[in-house]
Amino acid sequence: MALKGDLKDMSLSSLISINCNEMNQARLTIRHQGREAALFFADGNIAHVVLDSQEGEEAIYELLTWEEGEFELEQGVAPPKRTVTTGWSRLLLEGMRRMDESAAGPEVDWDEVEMSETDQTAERIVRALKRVPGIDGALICSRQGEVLGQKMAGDPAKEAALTAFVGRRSEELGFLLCAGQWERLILSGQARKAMVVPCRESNYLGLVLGRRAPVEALIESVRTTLRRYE
Amino acid sequence: MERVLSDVNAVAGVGGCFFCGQQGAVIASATKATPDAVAFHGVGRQVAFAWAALEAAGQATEELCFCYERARIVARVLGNVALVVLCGPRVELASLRIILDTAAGLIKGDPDVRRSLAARAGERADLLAEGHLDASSRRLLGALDSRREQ
Repeated sequence: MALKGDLKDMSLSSLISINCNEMNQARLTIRHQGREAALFFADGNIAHVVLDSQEGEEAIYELLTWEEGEFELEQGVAPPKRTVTTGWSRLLLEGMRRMDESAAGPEVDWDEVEMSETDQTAERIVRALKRVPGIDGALICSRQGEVLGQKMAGDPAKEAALTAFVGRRSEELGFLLCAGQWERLILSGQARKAMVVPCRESNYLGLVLGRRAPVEALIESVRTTLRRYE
Repeated sequence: MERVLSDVNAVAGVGGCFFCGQQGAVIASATKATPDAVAFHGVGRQVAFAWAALEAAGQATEELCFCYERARIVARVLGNVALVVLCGPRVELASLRIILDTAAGLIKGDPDVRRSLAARAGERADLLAEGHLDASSRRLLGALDSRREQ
């Protein structure tokens, strides 16, 4: 049976990350303002994309800008050919970068960021993360809610108290269910999306995400950034 | 309510689910795998604490998804109750979210169920007065309350 929905309720980036993570072989058809696109998933990645007469990765970047459109997911459909070779998470991040650029965001030079910063490690981490497309704000705080580094709009002290509080609740829940290591907490609301993850030296990292940010792809970026500073 | 719980439990990777009120107390539950009523109550309480903190911070949240090495807990806020789902790490989240959206629609559209849930949701003040939080967490919650209007 086909799974149907609308991109208003579930973004394309979420559909891609779920199907790739679950190694689905499937065809995702999307209809938007009289246009039709098809994405084929196979072997944990996107294998083929077609939009009008366009095929391959450039078509995906355009599709990622669609904020609404009916979709239909049919399991077990094999790709007719392979026009995409880049990994799905890299595609989503590139798509987010392009969208940010088109909204006049500056290009990131990771090496320059790393070389020029002389602040404390927490400050360097949040500055690096704030430059990742899809991350609107970042903060590192202690378990007691003390701000160790922040790059976010609003009231950092309040964000830190909230981050530490929900981080503690996440740990308690994990202990209660013997669920193993706590990896992250994702908070989704109409107005914003946020993520809290455990961070170096028993601290917490709080992230404010773009409303349509590809969470699964961002997790890899966050892990990579944290590893760079361990 | 029972139908909603049964539908949620039918999703691959779901181990059990329950409705809880603002106090975290279990209103109705259905178990498919190992978690028992005691575990549900503890989970409900921690979810309710997180939910209360988010509201105190002025950040209305529809869904909380706690991810662990061996489990996921998805809590969908539906007015003054939450539907909490205990899952394995490979749960089909897309299917689950569609079922949760349907559940939210059913509850919103059924005044009897809404009234029944509201009557049993309890008061958040009771949760915060019960003394289940450690001192540091109480201070954090106090800080959120004091900055509520800032």
